[in-house]
Amino acid sequence: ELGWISKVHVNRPAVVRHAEQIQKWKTVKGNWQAAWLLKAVTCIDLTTLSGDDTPSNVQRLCFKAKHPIREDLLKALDMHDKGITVGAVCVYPARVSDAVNTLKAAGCDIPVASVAAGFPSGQTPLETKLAEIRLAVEYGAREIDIVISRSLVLTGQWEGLYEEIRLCRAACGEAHMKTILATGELGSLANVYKASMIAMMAGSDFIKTSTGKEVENATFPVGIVMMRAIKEYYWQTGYKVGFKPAGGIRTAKEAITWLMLVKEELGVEWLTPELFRLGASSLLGDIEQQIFYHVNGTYALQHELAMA
Amino acid sequence: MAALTALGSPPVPKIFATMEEGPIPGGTNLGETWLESHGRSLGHFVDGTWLKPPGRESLECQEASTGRPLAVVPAGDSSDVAVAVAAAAAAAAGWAGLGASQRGQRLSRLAAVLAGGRGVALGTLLALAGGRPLCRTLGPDLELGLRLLRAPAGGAQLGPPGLEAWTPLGVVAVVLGGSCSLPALLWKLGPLLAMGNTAVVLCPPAAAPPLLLLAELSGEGAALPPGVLNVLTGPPGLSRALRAHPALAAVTALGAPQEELPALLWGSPCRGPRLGLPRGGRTVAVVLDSADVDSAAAAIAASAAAPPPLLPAGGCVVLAQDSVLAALERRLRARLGGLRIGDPLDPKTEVGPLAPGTPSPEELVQEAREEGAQVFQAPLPEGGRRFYPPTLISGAAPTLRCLREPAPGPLLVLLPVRSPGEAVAVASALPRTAAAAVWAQDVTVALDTADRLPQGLVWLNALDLLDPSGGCTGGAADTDLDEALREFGCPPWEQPPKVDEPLSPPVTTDDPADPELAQAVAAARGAAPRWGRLPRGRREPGCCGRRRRLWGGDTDPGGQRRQRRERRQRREPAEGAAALGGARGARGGAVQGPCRWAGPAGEGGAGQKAGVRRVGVASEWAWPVPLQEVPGGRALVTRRPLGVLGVAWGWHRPLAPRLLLPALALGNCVALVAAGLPGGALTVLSGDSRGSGYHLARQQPDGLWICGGPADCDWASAVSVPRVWGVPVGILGGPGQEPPPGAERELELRCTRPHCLWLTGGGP
Repeated sequence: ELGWISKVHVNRPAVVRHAEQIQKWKTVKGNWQAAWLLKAVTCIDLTTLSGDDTPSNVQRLCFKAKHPIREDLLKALDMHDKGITVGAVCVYPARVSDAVNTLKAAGCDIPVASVAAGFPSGQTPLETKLAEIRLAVEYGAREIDIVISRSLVLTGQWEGLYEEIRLCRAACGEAHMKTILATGELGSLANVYKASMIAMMAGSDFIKTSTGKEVENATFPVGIVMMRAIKEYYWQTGYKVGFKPAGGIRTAKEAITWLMLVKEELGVEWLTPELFRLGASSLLGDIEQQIFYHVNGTYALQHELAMA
Repeated sequence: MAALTALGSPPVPKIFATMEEGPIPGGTNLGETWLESHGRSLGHFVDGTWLKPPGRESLECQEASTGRPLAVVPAGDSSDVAVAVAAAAAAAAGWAGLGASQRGQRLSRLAAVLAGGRGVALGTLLALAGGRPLCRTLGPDLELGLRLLRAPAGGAQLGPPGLEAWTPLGVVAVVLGGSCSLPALLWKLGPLLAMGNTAVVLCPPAAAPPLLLLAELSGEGAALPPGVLNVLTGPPGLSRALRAHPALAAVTALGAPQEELPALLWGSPCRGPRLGLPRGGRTVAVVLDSADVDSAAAAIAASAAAPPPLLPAGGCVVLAQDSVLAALERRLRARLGGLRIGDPLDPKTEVGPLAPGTPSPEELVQEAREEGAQVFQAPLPEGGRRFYPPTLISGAAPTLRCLREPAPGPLLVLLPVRSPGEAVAVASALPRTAAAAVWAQDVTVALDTADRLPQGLVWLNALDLLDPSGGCTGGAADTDLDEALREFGCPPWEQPPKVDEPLSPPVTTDDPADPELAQAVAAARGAAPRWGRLPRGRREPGCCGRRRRLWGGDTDPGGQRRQRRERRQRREPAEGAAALGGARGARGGAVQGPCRWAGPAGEGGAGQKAGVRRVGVASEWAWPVPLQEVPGGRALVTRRPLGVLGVAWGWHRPLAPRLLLPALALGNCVALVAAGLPGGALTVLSGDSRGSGYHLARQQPDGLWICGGPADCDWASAVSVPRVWGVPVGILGGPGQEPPPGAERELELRCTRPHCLWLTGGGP
């Protein structure tokens, strides 16, 4: 339905101002802060996407994914029996089997997400992309984070984009598909809105801001625009599509602002791991620190918290 | 942890399930601390110290959200007024004698005091007593207030151009109608003090604590000398006693409710102290089909939650083009439903309680419901007796009260329009609007629509940006910095002492209206849009081509032919139609009598020539258009003609082209109680000058000039005219002389009103 994106207008200054206002005055304190931070933990896609990833650090990441917050801290908050784990573990396709095996050995059911489709640039032939997706699924990934071809957006080939994402969706099979829009490279907020719409129409379960490898990562204005597209899509079709900001989210405060923003733009029903994820690697450490402070009144020393 | 549990905060698992946001423990409340330090018993603040006269009744100020008593203030009476005015008068000479530069420095110090921690106490008190959410009073309001204070302070230090020879008025009274925002207050006090006046502020108990704190702070850091800023608290009736005090040079009302106004409205523009009436009004948001509907809805909902600080009348009318109406309505409902209503002291709160003393808009909403409009109301938290839910009225008939009068509280009225042109027509017909916003991504349509809107302040793709830089706080208060300073200064051509004497014999409003005048004003109103929107250079032939006939009554066939040709070129409708009603009669000379442009004495030949030359100059007047860098973009400040200008001529001298032609050349249509320019631009009726001001005021022109005592009318009659000026005779200069320096600029400003267009994006 190309009509949906033909009349899209986004005013950047207005969106930027809206984002600034939200950041300034919205925060939570006390027990509320602790609860919100734990919610953020359950929504984290704990990620490692480096050239030097090996089974050993992926393994460590998986253990951290299973025990994101120290058990005694959870106990102090009366949350030890709520099964607090991160939302997923996110790795390159070549590391999927390492992660799957580790998690299976640890006896937990955290899904493994794999980036695919020529991550991060998307500049590979479609056949390669589809093959990569199929392999990742075969290795045991239950979630696939695909990247779109930015060139299709920048040259306005919306039908081509739709077709590409649809084929990827088919290749994913049972696995959840998150579509990375790489918003830092789309040129305008209107393009972000349109690409979000196309991605949702083509069957994405999530839309995700960035790969983390662009110059501009998950910013609040971009997030606002994508969430508005999600809301519009929900109003038009009744389908709830998930949202995943990723890249550059490092502090607990930022995580809470993202949660606030989601609650304000989409509603509280989006604040679940099924509809909201935070792609991050170092964020979890800061959240654990803040929870440590909330419980103990002091910040933890380096050796007191397990590394990811 | 233990402390939190003791506070009764719910356990983490429960919050985890519901994702409630919870309150923000505010630490020490600086406002309450200040009230405690005074034992919650305040007084008047006069001559740099607290004045607590014995034997006065105590008035209670309450917390806006709960009604809890905050403090008591004395109920002032006329003896307190006398003490305060005497203190202000005693301080006046010293303050004026400091010189503009020193005064500017002192005001900058006051701004510095407020920028420190003391501004936080002030913001907290404004939230506590006024109900405006803390995220506003401590955030944008404080920031804007400081900029509005620093602008006149800076202007005074640099010496505002054109005001060098101006002198202070003396003691100026500021009457508050209710709680008012910090920017609105400082935008009055800043220019007032910068021009060298001293102030007596009278405020009702509900608004007293922040004002008293401001007065106390004004003495800190060697900012203002004692007696320069005095604050009186008192019952509503006290404004009459203040207004009657003979030592006052000006009285200005700030957000005074309608019932307070009669106490202030007496005397006249030519006699008695100057009177500044409350300005401001509603906002109109025009959402066109190329708009970013999501951003528009977010901004409109935010402005419904807390109106822009200089537009206290509040309320917003949304005009949406049919193609985006449904999308906008759905988003507005979602946004209004998500607004956080509650304690204004919680930084997350977006909608506070109704300000104390504001009537609930329930009646208007009920009327709309009965007339078949759809009313959407956000849910209200429990126990919110003093709150009103954010409300959206759609499908409202144009006759409803919610459209005809500004409604307090978080109220939106959504109307469909078919085209940008219709949006302009509807926005122009709404009474009491001060600002407008145009939402459209199509830049041509957006600029064209914005340009045609009559409101003094028009935002493009934004809704609440205000800034004093370059002298336009937008037309939010319908003034720019230059005008704000002039309001509190006495020009060299005006005689400072004015005698407050009753008008005799007063013309009552029961007198029959003048049908000829009504016709003339109607003709001028019909002609105003065309004449006012002609490019500046085009008006010159319009004025000058007829000079001979205007002057001597003889005809100039060549000139007329040229006129006709020019008009054809402009594709103007021929001067016929209703617009010419008065003018045609005047040309015939049968109805209104002879026109007397050239007088018998004094301004004979030389005066005529000078006048004609002025027309040429005036119609070529082109202001350097200030394009200001402002937060969030750029602001384009121009001046627009007033529209229909009524001039009541009472001077015993011939009509002065020096006075009237600039008004015409700058695009106004003038109805004068004493012709024929194209399309009824100038209508001159002769007549008895006595009472002419009353008759003109009754026709509600866009501006009214009273020239000379016999034509005077009282303030109460002119209350509906936005700009009233008792023209000082000195502005014309003597017969045969050039006008005094600065007079032309003053005329320029008096003939026009500021128009500010905010272009968002790309700014610093």
